[in-house]
Amino acid sequence: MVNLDTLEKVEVFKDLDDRRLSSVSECCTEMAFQRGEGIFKAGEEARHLWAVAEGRVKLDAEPASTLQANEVSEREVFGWPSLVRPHTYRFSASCATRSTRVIRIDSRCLQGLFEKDPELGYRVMSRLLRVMGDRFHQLQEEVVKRRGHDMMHQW
Amino acid sequence: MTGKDRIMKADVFDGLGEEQLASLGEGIQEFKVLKGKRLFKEGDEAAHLWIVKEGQVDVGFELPTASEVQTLYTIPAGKAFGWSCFVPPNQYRLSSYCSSGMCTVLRLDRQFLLECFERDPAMGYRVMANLAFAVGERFNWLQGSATVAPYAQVKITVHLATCGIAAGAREVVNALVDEMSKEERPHIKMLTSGCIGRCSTEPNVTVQIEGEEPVIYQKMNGEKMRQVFREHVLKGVAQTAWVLS
Repeated sequence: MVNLDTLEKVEVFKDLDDRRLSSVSECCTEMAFQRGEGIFKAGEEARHLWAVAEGRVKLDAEPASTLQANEVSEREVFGWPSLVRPHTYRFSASCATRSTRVIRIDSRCLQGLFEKDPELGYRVMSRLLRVMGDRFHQLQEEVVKRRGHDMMHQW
Repeated sequence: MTGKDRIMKADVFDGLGEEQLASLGEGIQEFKVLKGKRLFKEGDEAAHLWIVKEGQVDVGFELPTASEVQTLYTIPAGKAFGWSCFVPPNQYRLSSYCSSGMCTVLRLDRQFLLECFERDPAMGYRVMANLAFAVGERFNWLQGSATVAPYAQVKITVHLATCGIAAGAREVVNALVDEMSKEERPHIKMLTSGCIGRCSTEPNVTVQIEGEEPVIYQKMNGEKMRQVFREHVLKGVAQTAWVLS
């Protein structure tokens, strides 16, 4: 269980009423990590969606690449492959600040709630699509820039 | 054909019931477009979700200095695109074009879809989950392609002076053009130039791979050219037996 005040600040749970927040909180566990500690690794089975409650989390692509190595801040979620087949993390996540509090959300539990309450599923998945879309667009911008640069400087 | 029949094969509507498909079908618009026709342009307001019904659509970006669209992905029949309509600020980030002889595309208005989802959240949940899967798949693909080191630029110069032509350089050019047509490698360019002053070793071919010393081949013919292309240009192994010393 996680405090509802903390949960309602998470970007994908914004604007949910207390009843729905309470049911979501039953799928959540709060955890703390120290700087440099790993949260999950790329390639592992993705069973949890995560949200940053305090501090920052670093995401690293594997194989190492300058693309999409980024940080996730308070209220933001990461580990969305837990809700999308084939449920495998694409990035490694580690604690980027002296200490970080994260919310670990059991994806199977969450999807069970979505099946019982499709409106909750619709609200959360709509917001998650925005999160994924934003990150996809950032990645796409980088790829376009890189390709465009290569083409403009062909010899 | 009813609207329901038209969209039931789209991946984004997987798992929806008959009635749900029928209600979505009411808002569908169908277009037939010819190869090269643009469906939307980067920066346009993303007011629609699109589905390829027949043919294929290329999604890519345009450069001010190039006439062709630089394709990032190809959307086959049955797949949706233009999901930026659900992501603020609701602007298409790339342009899309029909890339097969003829395309049949379906278009659903964003507002119409959102109203359907508000009335039937179970439909909204299913569609959003399907879209999340589609975006995730494309994300993984894009990330994979982005981490692959880009190909080095390659210039292959066939020396086509009178002496070279007399020695059979046209056969070399034909073989090279044929090999290049089998590979979609825009980083490989073929050039022609004059004699290098070694008429006795014609036909000569220079292979220049970015970051490496140029290699000049001598006494080339069609078969040797094919081998140089496959082994040196594609795999990086110079064919030393034919290198001009």
